[in-house]
Amino acid sequence: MDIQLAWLCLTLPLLGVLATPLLARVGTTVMTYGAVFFSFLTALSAVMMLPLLFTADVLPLESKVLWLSTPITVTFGVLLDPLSIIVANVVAVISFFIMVYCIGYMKGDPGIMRFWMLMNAFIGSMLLLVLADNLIILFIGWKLVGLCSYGLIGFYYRDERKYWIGGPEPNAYDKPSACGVKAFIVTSVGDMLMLGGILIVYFYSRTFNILELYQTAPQWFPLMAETPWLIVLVSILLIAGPVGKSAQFPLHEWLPEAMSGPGPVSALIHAATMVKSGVFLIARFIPIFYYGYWTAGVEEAMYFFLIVAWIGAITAFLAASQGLVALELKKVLAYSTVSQIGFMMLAMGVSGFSQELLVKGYMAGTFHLVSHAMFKACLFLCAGTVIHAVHSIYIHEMGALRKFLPFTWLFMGLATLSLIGVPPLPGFWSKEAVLVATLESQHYLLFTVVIVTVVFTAFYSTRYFGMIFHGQASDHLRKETDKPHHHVGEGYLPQTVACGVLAVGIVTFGLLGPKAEHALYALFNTQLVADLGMATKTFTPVFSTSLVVALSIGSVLIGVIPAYLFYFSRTWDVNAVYERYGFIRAAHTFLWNRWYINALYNWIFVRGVMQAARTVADKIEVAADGAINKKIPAGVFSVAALSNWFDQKAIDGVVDGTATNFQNTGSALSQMLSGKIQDYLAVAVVVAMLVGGVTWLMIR
Amino acid sequence: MSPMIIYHLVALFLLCTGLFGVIYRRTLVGMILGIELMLNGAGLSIMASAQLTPTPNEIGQVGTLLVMGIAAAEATLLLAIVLVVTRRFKGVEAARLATMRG
Repeated sequence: MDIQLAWLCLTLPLLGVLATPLLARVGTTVMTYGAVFFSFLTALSAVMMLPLLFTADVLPLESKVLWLSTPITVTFGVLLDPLSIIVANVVAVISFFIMVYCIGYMKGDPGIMRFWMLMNAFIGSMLLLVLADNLIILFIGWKLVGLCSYGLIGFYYRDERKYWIGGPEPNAYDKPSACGVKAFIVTSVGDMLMLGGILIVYFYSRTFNILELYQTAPQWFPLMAETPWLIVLVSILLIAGPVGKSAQFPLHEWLPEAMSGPGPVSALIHAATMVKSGVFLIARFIPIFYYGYWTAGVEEAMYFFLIVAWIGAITAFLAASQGLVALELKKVLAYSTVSQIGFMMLAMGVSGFSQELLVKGYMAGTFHLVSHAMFKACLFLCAGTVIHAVHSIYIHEMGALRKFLPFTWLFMGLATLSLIGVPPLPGFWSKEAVLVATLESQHYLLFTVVIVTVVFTAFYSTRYFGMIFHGQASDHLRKETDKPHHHVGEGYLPQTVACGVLAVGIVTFGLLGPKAEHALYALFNTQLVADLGMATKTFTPVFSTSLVVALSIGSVLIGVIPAYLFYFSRTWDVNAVYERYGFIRAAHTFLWNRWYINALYNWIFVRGVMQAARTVADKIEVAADGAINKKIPAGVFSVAALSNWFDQKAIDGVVDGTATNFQNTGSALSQMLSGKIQDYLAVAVVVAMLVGGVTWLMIR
Repeated sequence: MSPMIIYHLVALFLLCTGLFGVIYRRTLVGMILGIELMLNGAGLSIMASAQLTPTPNEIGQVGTLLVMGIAAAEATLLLAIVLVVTRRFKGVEAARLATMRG
């Protein structure tokens, strides 16, 4: 029965997709509740898999049917092991609550049918990704979630003014449809590299099946290691996919823009589930590379862990620093998501650094994944309610909302405390697990980066919470509340209920924190050591736990206290500080422009090769003119004339000449298009005969 | 030359004649006739292959009937198109239908 639950989990949301348009013929309300019902059934079947965790020695369970039987055999199957059960539960259960929230949030939207179909399709493909037993099926799910993400980011594809993100006024805006395309393209870069990695692995191992990959690693991994640097290349390729999907440096730039979708979509896809699939996949690959380094003794396998850990640490720091200055509520949360996923990546990377840390790091990454999914989903749902109530996406246009939205204040407060890492909420326990793993790996540089990130996290969390709910009401908010029928208040009932349930879940999970940590540790010990036979050593801590707790709480306080004085009690004046210190202004500009990484990518990739010639001409002209006008005295007219001649004849000449040539070629080619069908047909016949003749000769 | 090859040469001749007709006839009606010829070539080829090989003869007959059926359906459709073209372009010469000229 147990393995059938996994199949059920996969099929139910897809049935929901098919049923949605049929139910829509009955009525919109029926369709809404029908779609949510399907996700409820999915969550139910996922929860029914949980008892398997208590009898972990029967895992892994696998069930497969033959799908392709060409020279390459691909099976379609599901795999249940502790990792996939835990992640599948996170996906199914949290998505159910988010669907409940959507009943209220999406009420009356004209594209509602498309919304429900995409949401259910997303849940189905995400579960396909998580439960897949082989890399090809996993990759299919991987691309499908990207597709659903694209559809939901660009959900408001008509690009009405109120759905633009970016700004405020002097800054540039982004339109939802463009944001969707950006997300899809950036993640696809990673996906394609990963496909290359999977195929190289297949070339050596002759199997896509994950369990077989683990079991036959002794045969194929040393074979692969015979080619120098191949392991490093495969590591980079395999990491590229997760880096794209989980928005890690250097492919992290799509996630802030992905916030242009509806609020619950950000909660589901861009906080709780899809962006975690990268961490999940890294966790899938860890046993292979761990075996490679610690058992087979392949030195190069360590690069996998080093790259993952450093990417995680760099991303955590980078994104958290950008979160310090952001003004859009959902973008702050997006930066925070990127940064927290960096923590998970770091934990996963650290797990390969020593034999004692494998289970510890693996557990820390997964634990943080679960707890972050809960509180970040809650945060995004509350943010959706707030944005809906205030009619603004900027936190400086809110303030003093506590008396209008008391429930949201409570729920968002709990989730924020968890994000900061205040005991006994789950964020504290999982962050502490990551910190312990990093410290014990004795890479002190990594640990320093992480501690600084914790300080940043505490600061920006307190900042946005204070700016939304405390202090004085902003001008925008006063204007809103002065309207006779303003709706600055809690949203529909399903919204509040969904946030409340998640908040209760956070508190419960937090109180059970240490127990959950031990249980997870035992589970992964069974999976990695007992089942897969990884060579580990028992964990003996070098540093005492109280040191880590002290460091963690200390750095939280360093972040929280100034933020409290700035944004809650307002005893310190932010603007005065900003005006007085030049370096703060410089840092602000630097962080506001996201370290100029986005600008760099735009500059390189978006403006593109087509405009390159024109751009270069402009740059040379402007720079040359500037230098000539300002620095060189008027006496050197001859140089100017020479430069001018050069501009016109050489640069413009080349550009114009290129254009003219293209035009001529174009008109010459267009002569061939007579528009007469029979001419085309004659050409087609001649070409077909030529191709056929050549092929025939070659075959003979 | 075995009967098989002769039949197929005839079928090929029909195909080439039809193709030539489609390409060089000036009116749409002529082009339709060319298409019919090509289809008949195909029918002949199927029929001959079924009759002269161990394959059951009925398969060839059914196949040829299918080709004929398709030819009839397609002729109806083409005539309808020709009617529309006649109304819009005031004539059935293929050279007039050059609105897609580049």
